[in-house]
Amino acid sequence: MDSVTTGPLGPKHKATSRPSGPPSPEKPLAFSNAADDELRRIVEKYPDAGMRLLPTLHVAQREFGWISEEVKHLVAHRLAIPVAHLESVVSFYTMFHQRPVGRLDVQVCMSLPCALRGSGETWAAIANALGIAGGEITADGLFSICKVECLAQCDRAPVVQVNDEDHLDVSADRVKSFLDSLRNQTGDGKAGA
Amino acid sequence: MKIDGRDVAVDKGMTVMDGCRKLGIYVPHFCYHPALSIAGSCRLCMVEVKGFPKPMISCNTPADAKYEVFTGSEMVVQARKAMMEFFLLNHPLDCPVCDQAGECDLQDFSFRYGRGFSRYDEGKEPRAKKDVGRDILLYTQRCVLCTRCTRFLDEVSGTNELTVANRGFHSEIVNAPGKRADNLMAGNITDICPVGALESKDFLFKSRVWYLHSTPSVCTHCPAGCNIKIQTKGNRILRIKPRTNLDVNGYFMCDIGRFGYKFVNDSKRLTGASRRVGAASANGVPARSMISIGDAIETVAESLASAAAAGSVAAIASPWMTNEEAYLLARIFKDCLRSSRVAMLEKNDRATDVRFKKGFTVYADAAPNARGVEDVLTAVLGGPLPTDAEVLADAQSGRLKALLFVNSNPDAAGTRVDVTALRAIPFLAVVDLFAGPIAALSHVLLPAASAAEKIGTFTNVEGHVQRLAHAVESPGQAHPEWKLLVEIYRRLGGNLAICDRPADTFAHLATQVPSYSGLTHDALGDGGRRVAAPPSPAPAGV
Ligand code: SF4
Ligand code: SF4
Ligand code: FES
Ligand code: FES
Repeated sequence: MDSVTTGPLGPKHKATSRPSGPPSPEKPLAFSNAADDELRRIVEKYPDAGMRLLPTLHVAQREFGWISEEVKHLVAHRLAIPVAHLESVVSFYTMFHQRPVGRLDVQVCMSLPCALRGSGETWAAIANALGIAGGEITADGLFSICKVECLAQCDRAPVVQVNDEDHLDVSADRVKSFLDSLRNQTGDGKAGA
Repeated sequence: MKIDGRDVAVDKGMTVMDGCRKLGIYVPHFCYHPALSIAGSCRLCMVEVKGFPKPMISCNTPADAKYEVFTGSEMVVQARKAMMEFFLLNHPLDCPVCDQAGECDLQDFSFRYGRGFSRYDEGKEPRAKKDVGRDILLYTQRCVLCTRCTRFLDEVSGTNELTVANRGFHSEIVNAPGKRADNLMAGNITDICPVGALESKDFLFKSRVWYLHSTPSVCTHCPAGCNIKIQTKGNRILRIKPRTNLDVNGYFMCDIGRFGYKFVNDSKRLTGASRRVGAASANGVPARSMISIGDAIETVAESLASAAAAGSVAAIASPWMTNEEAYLLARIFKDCLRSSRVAMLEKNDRATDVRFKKGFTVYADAAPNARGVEDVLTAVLGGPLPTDAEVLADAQSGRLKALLFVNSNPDAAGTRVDVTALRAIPFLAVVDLFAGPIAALSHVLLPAASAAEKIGTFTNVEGHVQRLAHAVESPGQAHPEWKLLVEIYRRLGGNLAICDRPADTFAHLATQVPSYSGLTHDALGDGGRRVAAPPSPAPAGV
């Protein structure tokens, strides 16, 4: 993904700290009315743009599924902050998706305690079983996988988070049954989208 | 506060780092920069403070009169050594092909504070080189994540084109979505980057920096008068760097000035004098033949003198001239030609002034010395000066017998003068850098020197008088305007005492232009002096 566009050289350059608008003005992205209401409540609750950023991003991710470049511009514009700040924050947290994800986003903790307890093997087993690499989605759109940092349940390592839910002690030998149970749950409609 | 056994007075808001700087004690650092906010992230500036169990970062530790600080104790030496090891964990150590080598903090610090070999056996993670701006490459793997670049773009230019993405070991500098580091101040991030991560494409692989010769001078591309270093190899300018002057440009300069040096090296520069042979057709350009500088000067002096006798001589002075040159021109007119018809060439404006978040301004006026030239001409000849339009109107109507036109515009095509009026003048002498439309119509054309090739002074928009320095030789027979004017002045019987060197001319000028009173080239030094109103009593000596 190349986010770089060529800028013009010229003394007529305008110095501005305003975020630039979304890149595709033909079909501008917008929040739904419901999301708009939510954003208004966030504004009332938090006095400055920095504080509003994370809650606003959560709303945006729910609204659009993932945080595209266009969404970054939209949020930057909304909060009147440079889009550079959006880039930093969104890329810092693995909970914000910078590409589309499956209905079940499988996040494997790779930090030290989990690593010592075999999260590397867990990751390989999951990737192998699903036939996809990090950042990819299975053909049926059900699974996507990614690596994340410590999920704060190190005592039950290796830890795997699926959407918003943690799964503990997911060792490599349990991966097959773990994935099966996830599939079944989706069938039951208990987990996933 | 006591630092390494020496006392330093503590002011409010001062940090331990400030105290060290005040005493001239160097504390190694990456993220600290005097023009930027404190990041406190590189952990290299650690010092020992008596009574505290761990080393403290000097850049973000408020100074305290009770502190006793050590900058070179065993604790500090060990802390630095450990930090240097971290900095080199994923560094490619490609100094042999890195432009920063020789002026790289990481290299210097490793040598001074690090260890000679690595204890790290693991592989390094390659990070791709990125094209982040018009003139800027990011060698991502060399970055030490000091965030000077992102803080500069946030706080000083206010343009926020770069930012830190990702977390922890995976952190790296990236373009903000849809943004390129193309603002007019962007080049400064290649200077403040303490390592070889941000590199100028213009200078890429041109020279090892230790072969460069550096000459302190002043930018000639707008009246801000940014202080610069002209860096040369042989007789070629390879790059321009900003030179710190807190009274003028602070630590920075703009990219117009930074890359504007190219006209100096341009092979199309005028390298000899020429005269026009035969008449010009209605719109055509007359044929020319080369002549010696001496003959050219002779002809100009004679023609000006005879036109003056007929009471119809004038000059147009370029805002690219130095104060000394303007003074010589004014003296020629006052002492020898008994005329005060010297106009200032109208300003050569770019679009508009560009003002950045922290106040740094690039002016629309493309010429550096309109203020100085005007100060000088007005003081010697008496104001108000005629406008160039008035002089050209005289030319058009045939009233003018001879015109000395100093153009000296580094932009070969950049003139707003309506040249048709020039066709009507019986004798037109032009001093210029390029064979532009004005030069083409001249009866005698004299090749001028660029600002990088001469000594003299400019007065910036705020009335700060600063010295230029001779960094390279002029091409061929090109001469600084002051030399050409001195020769004309001599032939017309002028006062020779002011002629030998620009410094002499300036000393004389200072006796004639009230606000410059008492100034000399020596007194100006490398930082210049402010002559702006309100006029204060003449400062004595220094
Ligand atoms: S690119 Fe240079 S200035 Fe920017 S964070 Fe890296 S080392 Fe610092
Ligand atoms: S602001 Fe003006 S003086 Fe300063 S570097 Fe740019 S052009 Fe030169
Ligand atoms: S390291 Fe995996 S949960 Fe803490
Ligand atoms: S200079 Fe103090 S932490 Fe970087």
